[in-house]
Amino acid sequence: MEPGGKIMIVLECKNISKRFGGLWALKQVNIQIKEKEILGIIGPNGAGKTTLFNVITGFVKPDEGRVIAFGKDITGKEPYEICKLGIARTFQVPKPFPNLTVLENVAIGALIRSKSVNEAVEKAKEILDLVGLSHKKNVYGRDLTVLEMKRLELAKALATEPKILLLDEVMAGLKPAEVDEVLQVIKSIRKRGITVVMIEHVMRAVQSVCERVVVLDRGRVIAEGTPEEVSRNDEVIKSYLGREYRLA
Amino acid sequence: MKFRIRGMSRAQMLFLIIVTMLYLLPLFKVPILVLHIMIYTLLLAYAATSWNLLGGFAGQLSLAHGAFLGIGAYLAALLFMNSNISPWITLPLAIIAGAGVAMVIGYPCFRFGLRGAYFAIASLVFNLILVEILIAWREVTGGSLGLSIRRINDPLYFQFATKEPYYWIMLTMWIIAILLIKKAKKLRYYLAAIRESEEAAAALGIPVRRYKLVAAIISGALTASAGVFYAQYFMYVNPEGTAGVEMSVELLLIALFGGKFTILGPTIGAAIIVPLSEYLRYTLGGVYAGLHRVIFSIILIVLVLFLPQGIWGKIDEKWSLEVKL
Repeated sequence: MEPGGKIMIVLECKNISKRFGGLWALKQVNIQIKEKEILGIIGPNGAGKTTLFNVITGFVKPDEGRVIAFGKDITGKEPYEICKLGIARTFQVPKPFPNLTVLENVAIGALIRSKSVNEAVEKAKEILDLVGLSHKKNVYGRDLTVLEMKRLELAKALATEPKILLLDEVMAGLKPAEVDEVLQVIKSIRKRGITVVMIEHVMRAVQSVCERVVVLDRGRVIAEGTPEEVSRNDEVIKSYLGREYRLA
Repeated sequence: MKFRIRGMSRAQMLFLIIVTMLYLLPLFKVPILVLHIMIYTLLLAYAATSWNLLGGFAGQLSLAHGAFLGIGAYLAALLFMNSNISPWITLPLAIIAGAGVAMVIGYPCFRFGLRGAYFAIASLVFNLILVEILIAWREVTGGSLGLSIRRINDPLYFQFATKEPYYWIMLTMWIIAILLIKKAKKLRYYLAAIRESEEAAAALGIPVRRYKLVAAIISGALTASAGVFYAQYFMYVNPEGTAGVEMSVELLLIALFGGKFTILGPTIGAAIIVPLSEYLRYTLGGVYAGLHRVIFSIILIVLVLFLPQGIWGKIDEKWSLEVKL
């Protein structure tokens, strides 16, 4: 919140369009993200969710539109510059550093805001505690299970000390108990004052932590609101949640 | 070990002891052939360590390092023969030249995203072009016959009548390179991240292209300085032997054999491969010329299949000898 009690927009996508060949992955997408909120992004496969993350973090250049972060236009900046500005992301398909240990993986994330490697290591240890991966700190990235890799993704992104964290399906494939664990981590992340944007298919997770949800379908925003509002929306039910969801 | 100097780890103590022993070695009556093999081992250890910065740590498989060695060697030979410039002065010039060439080659490669095999091919082509130029530009370079350096045995001109000074100089150069790389811890981790996944590295705030270029520049500069030593030690340079692709491949082989993810891997690789190669060349050379190359090719294939992290890499992984984070 700003001093005047006005809600501050930390990240804004203005009219973002991106075309891959003949397909609009994103078409005039407008999204505003408020400071310290947890925003969920849902939608069927191929809706453009990951492409949106790629555009925000500079991995993909949009054909049209601007990305505004902390009041600055960051469209077309390099991924490393965007990370330095305080926007971190995880990858849907985890990208661990396979020949480095878990501790090294996370410490590298902390390096850009550390004076020395030793300082980065200390920060990394703290973050491993937070995400519950401390017991694996000397294991090589290549030897982790997919679930552990997802946690590692989260730890690496956190290590860069972001103001905004973009999570791309960190809960896909997790058992219900594991989902709860990760939800606890996300809640504690928000307590640190970090704004969270999460792409998620696990609706239970979305409903329990997200204050607001944006629904994408075929590159367009088709609905926006609280999880309850969105789950009652006819168009959302038709394109994504399915009929049986209403009954449940 | 009972006694320990305060503030030193066991690995550092061991390093200090080995280095001291290496410095004192020539004071004992060492056969000249042994001393020669030690000098050549240290030279290739130094050059392979330099290669490893780009090829191992940063994961950009270069096949151009023969060219960088050649640039240093030819620079020393030509400046001395034509302008009577002491190779001691050429040494910093070669470092600048190596860095400059690395930048000119590296920038477009990294700018346009040449990765993996494509970067290897681009670097190989650069090396082949340089060899062709050295052969074709006969009036200056002496063509494929190369250049013999006039012997004056003057230490001021980096020429010594005995082998011992060469040994001490090369040993010092090697130690400087090892300590430099050891000290650049942050850089090593940046490069490791880039090698493992460029996207993930960029997502963690690492300027991938810039650091690849930094690795290429330091690597090229150090390798060129190895070339100056090469010229002064052998007093002879030629395109294929000094600046050729065979040298590039040998440096790569040494680094991979020893362990491309470790600081000391290339040195361990050189300590095994160089003496073995000299021995095989000596025993097989007369009757079965070239057979040692076949043997090394087989070793390389076996290595890639069964020990991809190299000998020192395996030991290091098992015993955590090079204290990591």
